Amino acid sequence: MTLVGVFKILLSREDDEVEQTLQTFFSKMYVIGKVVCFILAIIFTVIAVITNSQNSNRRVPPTRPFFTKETWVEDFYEGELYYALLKATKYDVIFLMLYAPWDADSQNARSEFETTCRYFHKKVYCAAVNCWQANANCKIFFDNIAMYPLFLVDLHHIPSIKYNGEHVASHMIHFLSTIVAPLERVISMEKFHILSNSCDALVISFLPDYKWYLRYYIASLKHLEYDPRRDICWSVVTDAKLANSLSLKPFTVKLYMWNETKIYNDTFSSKNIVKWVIENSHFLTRWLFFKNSKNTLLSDLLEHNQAVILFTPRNMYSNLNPWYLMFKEVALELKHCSVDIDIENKQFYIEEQRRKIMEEYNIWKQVCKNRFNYTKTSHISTIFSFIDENYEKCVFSPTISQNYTRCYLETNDASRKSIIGSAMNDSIFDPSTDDRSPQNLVLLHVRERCRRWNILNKSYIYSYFTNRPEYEINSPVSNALCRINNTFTFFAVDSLLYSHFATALGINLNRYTDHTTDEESFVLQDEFNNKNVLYKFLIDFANRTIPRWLKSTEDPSIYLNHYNKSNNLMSNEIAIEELNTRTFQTVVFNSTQHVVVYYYSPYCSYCQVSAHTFLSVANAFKNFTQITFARIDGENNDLSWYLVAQSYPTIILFPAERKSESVVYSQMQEITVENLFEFVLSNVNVEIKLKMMIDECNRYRNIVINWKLFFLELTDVNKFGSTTSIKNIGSR
Amino acid sequence: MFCKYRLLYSLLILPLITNRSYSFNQYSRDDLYRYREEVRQMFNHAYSGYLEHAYPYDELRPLTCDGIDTWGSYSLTLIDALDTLIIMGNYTEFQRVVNIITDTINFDINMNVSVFETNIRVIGGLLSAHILSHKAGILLEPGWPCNGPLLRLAENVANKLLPAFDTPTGMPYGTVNLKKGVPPGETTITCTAGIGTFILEFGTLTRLTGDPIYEEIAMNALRSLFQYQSKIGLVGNHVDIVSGVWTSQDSGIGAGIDSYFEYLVKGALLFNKPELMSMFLILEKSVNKYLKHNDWYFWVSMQKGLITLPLFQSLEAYWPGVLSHIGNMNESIKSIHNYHNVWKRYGFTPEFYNIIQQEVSTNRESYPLRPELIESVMYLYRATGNPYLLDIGVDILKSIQHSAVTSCGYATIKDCRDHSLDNRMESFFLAETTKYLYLLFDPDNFIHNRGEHGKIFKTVSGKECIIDGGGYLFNTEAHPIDPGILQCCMKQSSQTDQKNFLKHNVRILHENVESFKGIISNEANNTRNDVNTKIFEELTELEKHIKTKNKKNRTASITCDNVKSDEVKSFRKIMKNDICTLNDYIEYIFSQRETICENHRNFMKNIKQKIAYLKEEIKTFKDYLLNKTEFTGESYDPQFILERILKQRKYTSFESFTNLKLLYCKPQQYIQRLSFLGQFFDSS
Repeated sequence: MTLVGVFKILLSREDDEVEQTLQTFFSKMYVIGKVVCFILAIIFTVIAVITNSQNSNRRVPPTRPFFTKETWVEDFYEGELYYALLKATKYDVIFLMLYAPWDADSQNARSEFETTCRYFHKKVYCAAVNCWQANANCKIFFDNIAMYPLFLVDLHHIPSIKYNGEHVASHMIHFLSTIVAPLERVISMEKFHILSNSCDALVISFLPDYKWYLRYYIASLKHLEYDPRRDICWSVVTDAKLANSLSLKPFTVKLYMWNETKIYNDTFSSKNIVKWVIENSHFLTRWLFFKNSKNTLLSDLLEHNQAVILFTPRNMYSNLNPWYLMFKEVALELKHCSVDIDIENKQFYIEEQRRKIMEEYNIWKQVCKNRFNYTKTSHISTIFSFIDENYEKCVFSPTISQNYTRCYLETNDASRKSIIGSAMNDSIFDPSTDDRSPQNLVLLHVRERCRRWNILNKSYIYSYFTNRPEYEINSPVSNALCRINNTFTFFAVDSLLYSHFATALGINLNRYTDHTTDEESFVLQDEFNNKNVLYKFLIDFANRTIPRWLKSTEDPSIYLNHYNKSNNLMSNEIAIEELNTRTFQTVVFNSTQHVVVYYYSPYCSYCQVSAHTFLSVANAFKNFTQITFARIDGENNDLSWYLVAQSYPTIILFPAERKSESVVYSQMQEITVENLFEFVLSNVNVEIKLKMMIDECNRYRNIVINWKLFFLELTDVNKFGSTTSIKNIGSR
Repeated sequence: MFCKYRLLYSLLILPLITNRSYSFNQYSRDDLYRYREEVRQMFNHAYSGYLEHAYPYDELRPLTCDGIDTWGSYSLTLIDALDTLIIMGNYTEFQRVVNIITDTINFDINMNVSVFETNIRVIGGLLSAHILSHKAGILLEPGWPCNGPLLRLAENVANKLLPAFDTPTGMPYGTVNLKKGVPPGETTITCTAGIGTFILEFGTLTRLTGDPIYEEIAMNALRSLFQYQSKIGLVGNHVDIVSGVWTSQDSGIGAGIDSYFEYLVKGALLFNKPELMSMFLILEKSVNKYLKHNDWYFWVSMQKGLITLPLFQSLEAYWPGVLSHIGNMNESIKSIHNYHNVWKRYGFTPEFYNIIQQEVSTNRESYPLRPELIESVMYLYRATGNPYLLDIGVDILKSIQHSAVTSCGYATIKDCRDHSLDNRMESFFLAETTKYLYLLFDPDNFIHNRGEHGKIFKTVSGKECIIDGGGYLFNTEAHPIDPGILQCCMKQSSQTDQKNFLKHNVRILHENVESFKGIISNEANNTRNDVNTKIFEELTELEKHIKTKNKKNRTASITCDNVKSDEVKSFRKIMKNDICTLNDYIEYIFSQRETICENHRNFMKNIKQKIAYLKEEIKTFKDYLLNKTEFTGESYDPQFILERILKQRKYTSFESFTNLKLLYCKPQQYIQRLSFLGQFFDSS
């Protein structure tokens, strides 16, 4: 601004001296100069404002790439959703991740998303879009995303499907695989039985018309939003004869559950079918999944029922869990007592499935040992849906050369067998370059299975097949089962995702197979490798012969928030023994010891704030071997009902030899060192009392003086002249 | 997972750990430590930024990388961050800073400061640094913890705040001049939190220095404030400290009121004061009745309880933490869910969030790196171990790391909707936000000790007390106070208590003389010294005396007890200073019990006359004080306030004020232990 002023002065002085002609020139110059000055001034202020604003408050931070390398995922960190969609047109399936760069969940899901995309590389188009960036079209389009990240699957011409499952690669891969092939094709009665028994429920339809099929297909996809793990199977019958034998009329949807079948009669729209399935499905056993948002799922399930809960790792790479099937079988047998169901048939198929898991495991182990050439990748994605389950039984015999494939078809469908057989024969020694030749499809499928198998093997095989369940038929125990109260509900919980559920009950999942029943909980301690174990457990529970499971802090490693003292105890420190459910009895009921127990709760700050008082008193009594001071976390250690504290903190003294005459510290008394000291002293035997008093005399000189005063007050000084001796004690 | 796996476990645990993707939101200790180190780096970045660019100013300006004075002119960030250094284990830096502070910082400056902020940040910071200095290996003064440079500084600052409390109601002014007392023409309107947020610091000062004035003054303000609650049991936002009239009648749990509730609970716990807990419970009942809607807390009018503002303020997130102190887990985690939802949507919690419209309130969209949410999360995680709370902690950490970081510190978020920044880093970022985050991810920090162990400390007076015994309580600026240390400096309990104690024991002795005889003579034989026998002799002698004396004194002692009426007690307190001779006289009279009884009436007459005289005197002095028109700025004698407080004692008390049971917690229902992630059990 000063610059402008100087310029003006210069101009005005020159004005006086020069001639008229020049004056006009200068007046012109003056005008121009004025304009120039004005512009300069504006520029200066603008620059000043800009630099100033840059310093004092930075506007929106610049965008940065969210994914470090874009090998598997394309990152649209500017928030341009439309570019992503434009680029995706040549793919059948688009998997979208809408993230906010600051969001921890988005950051964590990043690697999971990449793993998933890597798995489906070139088959599914993966794009990550920054949906936080203001003014970018993603943010404008998806206004008000409540929780990042948001996963969407887009199939052309079909409304996009939201992924609501866990942000874990295995779950996402399972989800995408299901998206690719949402409907199981039922080609035989056996297949139908397998599906209806291994799935928690089965939706089935016979649709000769393409338009209706499309609606049904969309419904099966849409249902994945509510059931991202596909616990309810969706299937379709294409064979009229088979439909007839299933008494499945055209254009109807049937829902098979463990004890009943329902038929859908309403208008045939995707939305209505999904709604109907959700409203009408109920389960014998089911997997529980928990959300972070407020809900009362467990409360509704547990508060009025007895529940049996199975904790088992759920492997999303393999479709079935043998323990879960076994669990289902037991549930079925228990329900059979009261509900009329065709149990033998069901049992047969479930057992069959269990057996098959084992067999398949061995088969695939052999097949996948011979490594496949992974270099060749295919663009075929939706094509998977046409490969029938029976192809999986095609086994590459390890004895013959690697490329030689031979298929064992164990299907009744003779025609299919011949087709496939011929296809195989035709092309065995003639490796076709055509991706979609039957031979290559089989190869591709086997390759896919092996990929999965390898991942499965790498990640959590250890908890899986080494300890295989045994199976037995018509066990005698099952008869006894019907005599017990069988109002149980059965749930399975994925121990890989929700181990803290077990931790909340004080169970270390690394040790046990567990079944718990509430309101009090009981845990099966034996190895769960055959049904009898579970039968016995349930019967024992009903007969009340099984001991209650007691939560305990004896293994603090499972409690992540547990406090461990960082270094060893120093000489000038004092620590109080921590009791737990297991040690409580031996320590407290030691008949030679007076035991003072401090019951506390982690929920109660007053316990923590007052704890130093207890430490002080323990310190005062530290020379007395007959008195033990101990603490117990009453909230996390279950004790017999008569030993449970009614409020926290509670201080109870269990005198030596007279354990039944335990004394509770009065809540009407303030928790102070003096009060607590007196409480302990007045409840132990005289010997300790006297010792303590002498000890006190030695330790607290001023107390001795008070003693003296007190003596003096009570007695006549003249008569009681030997106070010097007391003084001696004090100074000793 | 299965029994057999116990053997396989050691072999197979490896793939589980390396392949963490399969246990998504499950944390291992190593994860916690990783996050903890991230927090430590965050702190170090901001702290070194402050030292390099802003010291000795109050705060760092993180965008321009320079310093500015905000609340005072005493290197506020440095004082505030002191104890965070200890918690993070950086002892050498702590020692260096303590030396700087004790050597250079001067509070005798002509400057108007906020009474509230100075108390929580400066006094709180100095006190906790003083209390924790034994951890840092600093050479302690002989009188520690009842003496020490930091404690003297804190006391000095507190003394400078005391003039603010010299008001007719006992509630303090909001502003005070550090040199001259309350500035002339200072507004008489103070916010509720500015009245009720002193007890933790002042109570601690009293316990450590032995001077009763701080605690009395803070309690007096609390009692006075409680008197002015509305008919439906709510307190407003601002009150006139002279008349007690509410000038802002909005009642909520957030800005202007927040730490009042917090201090009622924490004060009750730290000082064993059921009176404060009772106040809190009475107010909480109304809060739940009028303010609470679907686990949100609205703003209502204090007289009628009608909703005035359906707002969530980011300050309000402290409330679950307060509830967690009294074992109210269910409600607190439910509210946390609501607050976390706001966080998840914007990445931060805006100052005001309109709950009905589900939008950020205009002009209140900033987030100055506030600690309230993480504070509550930390408390709740300690208590429950719910992994959901760790998720929130990680969310907070990552958001700050991503959006608030600058080249020399961490900046206030100017607008939560686009994460633009403002050129400010409040001192509570280093004092609180980083501290709570660190503590959330450090389960083994000494702060988390629940009383499992403690250090035996011998004071100069020979008294043994337990320090570092856990149970630390934080003031509202996250400065921890060790409850054990407060016992070290308390005078030996009053003589009557000890007399009772001894009397009790003598009674026991008396009852058991026979059995003692055997024990003592045995011990005397067994041990070399004959002290025990001497005691024994004395005891038998004593026994005789008790027998005879008891008969004689029985009638006398009953009447004598009446002498110790309250009147005498209060009288003695009032006359504390100038009537030593009278005090001695009283003592003498007390020792001559029989004479007391005889001279009882004369004695009482004397006392009454004396009291009347003193009353007159105090009244004239008070008139003088009230009539003084000039702002003198002379040295101030706070003793007068104390005396007035002790004399007035006009507040009605509830029966529950003495009910110690209020401090205790009820056990949780069995089913509640399954309340994790979003699972709640309501029917119980």
